[in-house]
Amino acid sequence: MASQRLAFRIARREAMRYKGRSALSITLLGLPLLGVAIGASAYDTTTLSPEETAVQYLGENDAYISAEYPGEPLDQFTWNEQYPWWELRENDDGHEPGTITEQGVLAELPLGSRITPYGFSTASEEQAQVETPDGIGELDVLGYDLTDPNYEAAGFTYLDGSAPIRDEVVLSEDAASYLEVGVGDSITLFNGGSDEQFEVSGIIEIPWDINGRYAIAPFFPSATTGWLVDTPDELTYEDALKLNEAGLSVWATSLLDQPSTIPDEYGYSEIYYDEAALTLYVLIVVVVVMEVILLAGPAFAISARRRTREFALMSATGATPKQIRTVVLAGGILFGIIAAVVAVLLGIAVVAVGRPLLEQIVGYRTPGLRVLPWLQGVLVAAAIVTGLLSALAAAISASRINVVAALMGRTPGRKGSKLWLLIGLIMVGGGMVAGFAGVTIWSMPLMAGAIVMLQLGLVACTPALLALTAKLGRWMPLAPRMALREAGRNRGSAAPAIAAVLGVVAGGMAFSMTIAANNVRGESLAEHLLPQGALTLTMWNDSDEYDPETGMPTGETPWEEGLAESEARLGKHLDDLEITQIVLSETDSTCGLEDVDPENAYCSVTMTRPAENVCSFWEAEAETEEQLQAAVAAAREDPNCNETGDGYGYGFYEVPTSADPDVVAAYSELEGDELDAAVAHLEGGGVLISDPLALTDEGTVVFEQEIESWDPETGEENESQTTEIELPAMVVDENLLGYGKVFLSPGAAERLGLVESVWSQRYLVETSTVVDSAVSEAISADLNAEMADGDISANFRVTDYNDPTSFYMMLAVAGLCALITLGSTAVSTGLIIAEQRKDMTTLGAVGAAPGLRKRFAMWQTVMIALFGSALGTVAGVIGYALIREALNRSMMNQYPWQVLYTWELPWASFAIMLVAVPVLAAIGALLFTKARLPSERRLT
Amino acid sequence: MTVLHLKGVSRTHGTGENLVHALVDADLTIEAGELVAIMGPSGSGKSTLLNLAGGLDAPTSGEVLVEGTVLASLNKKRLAALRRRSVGYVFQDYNLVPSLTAAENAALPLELDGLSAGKARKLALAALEEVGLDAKQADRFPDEISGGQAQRVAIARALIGERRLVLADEPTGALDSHTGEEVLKLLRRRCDAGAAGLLVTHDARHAGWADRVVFLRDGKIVDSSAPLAGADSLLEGAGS
Repeated sequence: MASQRLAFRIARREAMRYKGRSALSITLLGLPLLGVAIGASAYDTTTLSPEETAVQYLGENDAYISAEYPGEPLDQFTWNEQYPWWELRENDDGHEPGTITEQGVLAELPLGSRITPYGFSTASEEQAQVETPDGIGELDVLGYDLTDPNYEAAGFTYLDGSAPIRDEVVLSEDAASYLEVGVGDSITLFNGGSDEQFEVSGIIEIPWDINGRYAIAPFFPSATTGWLVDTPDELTYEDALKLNEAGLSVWATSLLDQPSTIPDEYGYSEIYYDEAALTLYVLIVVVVVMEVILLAGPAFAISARRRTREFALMSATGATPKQIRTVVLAGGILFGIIAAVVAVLLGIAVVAVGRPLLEQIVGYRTPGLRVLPWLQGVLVAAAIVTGLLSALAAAISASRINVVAALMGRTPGRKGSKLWLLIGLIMVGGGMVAGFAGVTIWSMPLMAGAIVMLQLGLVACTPALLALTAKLGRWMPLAPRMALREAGRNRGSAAPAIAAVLGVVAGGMAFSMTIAANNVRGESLAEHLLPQGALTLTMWNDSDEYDPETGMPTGETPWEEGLAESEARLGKHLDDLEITQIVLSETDSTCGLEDVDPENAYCSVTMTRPAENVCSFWEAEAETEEQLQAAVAAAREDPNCNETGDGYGYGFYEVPTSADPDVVAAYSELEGDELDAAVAHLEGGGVLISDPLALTDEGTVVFEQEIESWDPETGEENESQTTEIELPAMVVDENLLGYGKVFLSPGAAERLGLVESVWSQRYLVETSTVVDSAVSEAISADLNAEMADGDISANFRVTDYNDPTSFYMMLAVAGLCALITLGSTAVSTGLIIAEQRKDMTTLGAVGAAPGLRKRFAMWQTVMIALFGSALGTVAGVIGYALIREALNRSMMNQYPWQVLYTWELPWASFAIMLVAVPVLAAIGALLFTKARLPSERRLT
Repeated sequence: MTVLHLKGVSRTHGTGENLVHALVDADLTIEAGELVAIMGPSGSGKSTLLNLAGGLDAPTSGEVLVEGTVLASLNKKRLAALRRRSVGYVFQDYNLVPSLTAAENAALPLELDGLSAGKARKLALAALEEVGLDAKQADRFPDEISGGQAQRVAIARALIGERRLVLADEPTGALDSHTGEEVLKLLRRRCDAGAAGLLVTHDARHAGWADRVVFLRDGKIVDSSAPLAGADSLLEGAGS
C-alpha cells in the first residue's frame, strides 16, 4: 500500500513537473470522453419523462381528449402517453367512425368543463402559400382562437405582440424570420387565384415546437380532432372511462400514474433484444477505446523513455520491476481520473451553456439541465481503465530497462525487432482469422478481438517495418538517408508516434467510410432516377373533371398550352433553355387488352428474374416464425438475395420511356459508344434494366403481365390471367433507374400494354444558367401562378441527392485526424531531432550546410506521417469491414433487406491523410526547424 | 565483520571476436567501518565491479556475497529487497528522483519496503540531519538544492535504515573541489560509524580518504595499498 501511495505521489509530481506533456495526455484521453459526456448530458436533458411531456403539451390544462372513434366504446390500455394505446371494444372490419361535435364532447365531461381545439403538430395538413422575399413559399396554418385562455395555459408564449383579432395573424419565430417580418408588418397569403393581406399581431412560441414555421389565426381552417380540456375539478379515472365509452381517448395529468392494462396476448412484456445492434455498439466502443489507447499510449511511452535514468535509479535503490510498473501505471490512472473529471464537468458545462442551441436542434423546450449520472459514472470508470491500458506498454517497458546501461547513460542495444515482427504478424494473422470467424459464426467477442489484435499487430510490426525501410536509405541523398536510418535506429521515438497516427487515422477512416457508405444509402433511399443536378419540369393535370368509376380524366388535358406557358416562365430565369419530354408510362386497368372490361379489372406488370436467380427466400416455406427466421438466415448467405425494401416490387408507375439520346443519357449516365449502343437497343424495342440478375442467358428480360378481374354483378373475383412478355434487355449501373429498375423504349411500353401517364408529364430542362436556391425559388414563384385556365400546375426541381451535412462531417473528421497527425509527427520529430543533437554537431563540424537539419526534419516527418497514415488506413478499412458487417446484420432481420452499407471509399479523406498531411507536415518541419547546427559543449 | 566479499569474480561482455573481459578473477573483502577506494584508468572495470557488488549486474563466474548472502542465490524480487535493505548507491550526478523532495528521496528505500510515509519521513529527516541538512532543505526538490546538497541526500539515502554498504561511483565528479571534499568527509564519517564503503574515483586525493586503495587495470586487480602520500605514484605505476 505504501509503495502504491509512493507511486501516485511520484505520478502526481511528474504530472505537475511536465505540465505541457501532462495536458497533452489528459487531452488525448479526455477528448473522446468529452464527446460522450456531452452526448449523455444532452440526451438526458432532452429526454422528457411522461410527466414532463404532459406538462409540455398540456401546461396547466387538465387533459387532452382525442376523438378516436366517436360513438363506439373503446378500451384504453395506457394513460401516460401522448398517443395512448386503445382498442375498439367491438372490432368490426370496415366500420367507419362517426363524428362528434364540441357540444357532444362537453356532454361527456363534468359540468363546467371548457374545451379548446388542439393538436400535437404544427405541420398540419393545412397549408397556405405565402409571399416570401424571394418569391412564393408555403406556411403551415393553424385555426386556433388564441384569445381562449386554455392556449396560454398550455404554454403558448408571446415572444412579441399579442393574440390576433379580425384580420390579424401570429407567426412562429421561424415563420417571421423566413418572411422577414415583425409585429405590425403585413404578410400576403395566396388562395387560388386571389391574394389577401394580414397584419402580424404577434410572434408566438409553442414549447413543444420552437422551430415550426406556422401562422395561427382563428379564421384558418382547423383539421384537429382533439381538444384541450379544463375541468372544474381534477379529471378522474371514472370520467376518463366515460369518455372512452364515447369513443374518445384521454391523456390527463391526473391519470399519468394509472397503471397500464395491456392484455397479455399482446405480448407487450417481451423485451426485444437486438444482438446485432449490441454487437455494433460494442465494436464502436472497442474501436474508440483502441484509438484512445494508441493515441495516448505514445505520450506515456515517450515520457517513460525520458525517465529511464529515474527508473534505473529507483531500481538501484531497491525498487522491484512491479514497483516501477506501478509508478508508470499510476500516471495512467491519474491522467484517466483527471481526464474523466475534466471531461465530465466540461461536458456538463457545455450542455448547460448550449441548452438554448440544443433546444433549437431538438425543436422543443427542455425542463432543465440533467446529466445522466450513471453514464457519467461509467465514463469515469472507462477513463481510468483506458488510462491504465494506455500506460500499460510504457509500464512494462519501464520495468524491463537495463539498469546498468541506463545508469551509465548508454543506449541499450536494439534487439527484438524480429521477435516483435513475428508477434505482430501473428497478431495480424490472428486478427484476420478472428474477424472472418467472428463474421461467419457471428461472435461479438471474436469481432471485437479482431479489431484489437489487428491494430496492436500493426503497431508491433512498426519497428521492424522501420528497420526494413531504413535499408532503402543507401540509395538516397544524405538527408532522407539519415532520416530513414534514424527512424530505424530511434524506433523508440518514431514507433510510438506512428502508433498514435495509426490509431487516429484508423478510427477516422472507419468513421469516414461509415459516413460515406451511409451517404450512398441515403441516395439509394431517395430513389435515384436522374443524375445529380438534373433539372426537371413536371406538370400535373389539375382538372376536376374525371370519371369517378375509372378515375380517368374526362376532358382533354391542355398539356401543350401548359408547356408553352411553363417554357415562357422558365425562359425568364434560364438562358439557352432546352426542354425535352420524358414520356412516363404506367399501367391502366386493361394493359391494352381489348377483351377486358376496364371498369372491372386491374392490370399489373412486374419484371421477373430467371428461376436460377430468384432469391431462396421466395421459394422457402415460411409459415412459422422459426421457418421465417431460417429463410432469412438462408437469404443472408444467398447472393441472389440482394433485394431491398425500398426497391423491391418492380412496380410500374411513371416508368421513363424514350429513345431520345438526351433522355437516355440522363437516366443511364452512359456516354459515347455505350450511349449509342443503348439508344440503338431502345430503338430496336428493347429495355434498359439496372438489376443484372433479371437478365436471362439470352440477353432478355421477362415481364409478367397479370390481369385480375371480377364479376360486375356479384363482385366475385375471376381467375387471373398471366402473360409473360420477353424483351431484349441491356444492363446499366445498379444504382440507377429508381425503384422500377427499368427504362423502356416506346416499343417496349407498347408491348407491355402501358399507356402514357394521363395525370402528369415530365420534361428534362437544360440551361446554361447556374441554378442556385434563389433562382430555383424565383422559378417556383413564377410557375405557381395559374396555367391553362387552372387545369395545369407545374413544378420545377433540381435533382439533389447529396446530404451536405455528412460530407462536411467527413471532412471535419478527416481534418481532426489530420491535425492530430500533424501534432504527433511534430512532437516525435522534435524528439528525434533532440536525440540527434550530437550527430548534428558532428555534421556541423565536418562542414554540413545549415539547411541539412531542416531537410532532415522534413524527411523525418514525412516518414512518420506516411507510415502512420498508411498503416492506419489499412486498420481503418479492416475496422470498417467489421463494423459494416455489424451494421448490415442489423438490417438483415427480415427480407427484403433494408438498404445495406456498401463499400464506399472516402477519397477526400484518403487524399487528406495520405497526401495532404505528409506534405503539410513536411512544410511545417521545413518552416519550424532551426537551420543552425548546434555546437556542443562536452560535459565529461 | 565482512560486509562485502567478492570471490574470484569475473565478468565478460559479448562473444567471439567481440568478447571483452570487463573484470577478471577479482577477490575483494570489505569489513564494516572500512572505506575502500577503487582506482584505475577508463575501461579498467571500476564501474563493473561496483555494479556486481550491488547486484545490479551478475558475474560470469565467481561469487558476490553481501553480509554473507550469495547474490546469485537470490531472485529478482529478493535482490531488489537486498538493495533496499543492505546496499546504498551514490552516483556522480542525477542521483535523485526529481519528483520527490530531498526527504522523500532519502526515505525512498524505506517507502519501497512498505514503511508508511510518515515513519519513513521521520527516519529520513534524522538521516538528513546527520549529513548536515535541516528540515527546510529536506522539503526541497532536487532542482532546488545545490549539487553538494544533492550528494549529501544521496549518501543519507544510501545509509538509511539498517544499510551498511555504500557503493559510490565517482560521487564528487560533478562537484567543485571544496564541496567534493565535504562529501568525502561525510562518507568517511559514516564509515567510521560502522558502514562499509566502496568508492570509485579517478582522483588520488580523494582516494586519500580511504583505508585501502585497490588498483584495477584491464579488469584485473593489480595492486592494493593503504592510501598514503604515494597514492598518485602508485596509480601512475599501475597505469603504465
